Amino acid sequence: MMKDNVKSKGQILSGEGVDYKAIFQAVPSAVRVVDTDFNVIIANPPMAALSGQSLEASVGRKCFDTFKGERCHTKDCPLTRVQKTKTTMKAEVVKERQDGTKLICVCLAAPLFNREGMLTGMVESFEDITKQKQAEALRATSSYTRSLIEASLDPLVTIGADGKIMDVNKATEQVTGVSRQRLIGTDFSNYFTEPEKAREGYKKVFSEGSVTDYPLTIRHTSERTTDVLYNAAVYKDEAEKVQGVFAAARDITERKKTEEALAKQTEIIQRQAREILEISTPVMQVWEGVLVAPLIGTLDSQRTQQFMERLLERIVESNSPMALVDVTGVPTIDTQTAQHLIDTISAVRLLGAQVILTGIRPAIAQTLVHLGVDLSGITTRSSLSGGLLVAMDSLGLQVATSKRTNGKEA
Amino acid sequence: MEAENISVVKVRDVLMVTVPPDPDDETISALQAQVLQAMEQYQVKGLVLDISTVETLDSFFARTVVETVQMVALMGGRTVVAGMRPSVAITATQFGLTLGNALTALDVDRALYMVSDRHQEKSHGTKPRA
Repeated sequence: MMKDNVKSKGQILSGEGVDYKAIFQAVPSAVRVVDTDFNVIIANPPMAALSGQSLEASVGRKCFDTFKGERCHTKDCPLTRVQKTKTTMKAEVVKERQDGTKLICVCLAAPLFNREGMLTGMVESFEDITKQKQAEALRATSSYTRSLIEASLDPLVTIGADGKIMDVNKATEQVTGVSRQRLIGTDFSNYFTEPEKAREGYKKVFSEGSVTDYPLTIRHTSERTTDVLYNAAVYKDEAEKVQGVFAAARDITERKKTEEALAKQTEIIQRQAREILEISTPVMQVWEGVLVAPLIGTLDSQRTQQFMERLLERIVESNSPMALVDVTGVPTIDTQTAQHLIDTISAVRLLGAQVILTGIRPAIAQTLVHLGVDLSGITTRSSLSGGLLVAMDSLGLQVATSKRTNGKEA
Repeated sequence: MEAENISVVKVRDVLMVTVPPDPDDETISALQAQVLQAMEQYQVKGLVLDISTVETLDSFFARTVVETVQMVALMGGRTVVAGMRPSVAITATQFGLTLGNALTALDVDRALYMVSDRHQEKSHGTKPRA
């Protein structure tokens, strides 16, 4: 009995009296045998399941009628190569099922010999690795997108419908000072100086689908704050169901700084411009009831306006009926400048005061006459002191030389 | 109705006329009539037109003032316009409005001097010629 047992074991090992067909049927992989003319001799049920063609339909027909493949009828066909080299080979092939779907398979092909060592056919097995391949591709894609997300300098975050953080990138860790593990699962609004406003923000995303340039301030664990603008949108699954919010923040600290600096500079420039205008048109009181306003530089309409306002204000303020406008510092007087002066003088007269135009140099006198500007209604003098005498006289004042200083100065 | 706002008061030998802040055309016409009536009624040297509360000066007002000055002159009186605000003067100049030959004064005090003083042109007041 023992001996029988041993004998049968030996028979199995040597392959004698074994029902290869039964084994063939039991193998989980898709296997088929073809002859040297590529006719399918036999195939197992997994083969039919893989190809989508019944065993009855495939057996007896050419191997390339079961599947179509990109390597069929080429020298790269595994069977062709096995036939040529008479060795086992393994290859990854793309096959097309009867229903047209593509399959990626690992194909293992081996030669079959008869007792005389003649090649009688080939055995070919297929393993469907389509799903693995897809998973691999998906992994590759997701790791690619992940690295894109991580590489972003803008803090990115995904928030669930409950307002809890689902995912963050490195920039978010840096800006909050909190690690990824501790961020995920916590309330999104916790990390802002105004949690209420942050909450409102993501609620708005859920109700409107997206928000743009929503201003918030992120608080770092060290109390340092970062001003950001949030752009966020909902994201959906394949069934178009809203899964959560994807939010990207843009750090605007630098931009804010620049804007502030710019605003400051603009303010300084405006203030200086104002000051220059004021400085360039001083109005001084030289005697009770007498003002002196020296004009320096060219008179354009803006300056005239400014000058007129100041002169009139000062006349009323100091209750001075005489104003000396000195044009010694005015380089040239053209018709327009003259008109500006005449306007100013008319306005002063309406108030009930009088203007004496002083500092009319010979050149200016010549110009005025050549231009035909009529200043005949205006009292004019060549020098400020001459004008002052007119003003004094008009006010009924007289300058007397003191007897005590007379001898010394005369 | 608006005429109630106009005050024409005789002070010694001068008529004091105060113009309301924002006079409309009717008020201005009524003012002229009242002034001329008072000129007939009282023996005065002239009148002081106080416009220190007036914030806007339109062309009708300016023309009426110029006319009134001429009418009062025909009746033997002198008119001094007093207290025009700087902003009003600037606007008037920009629109080319003038008060013709009307005398002007910085305030009522100076205006009173000018009306009574025969030699006013040598003292405080001014007489625009332009």
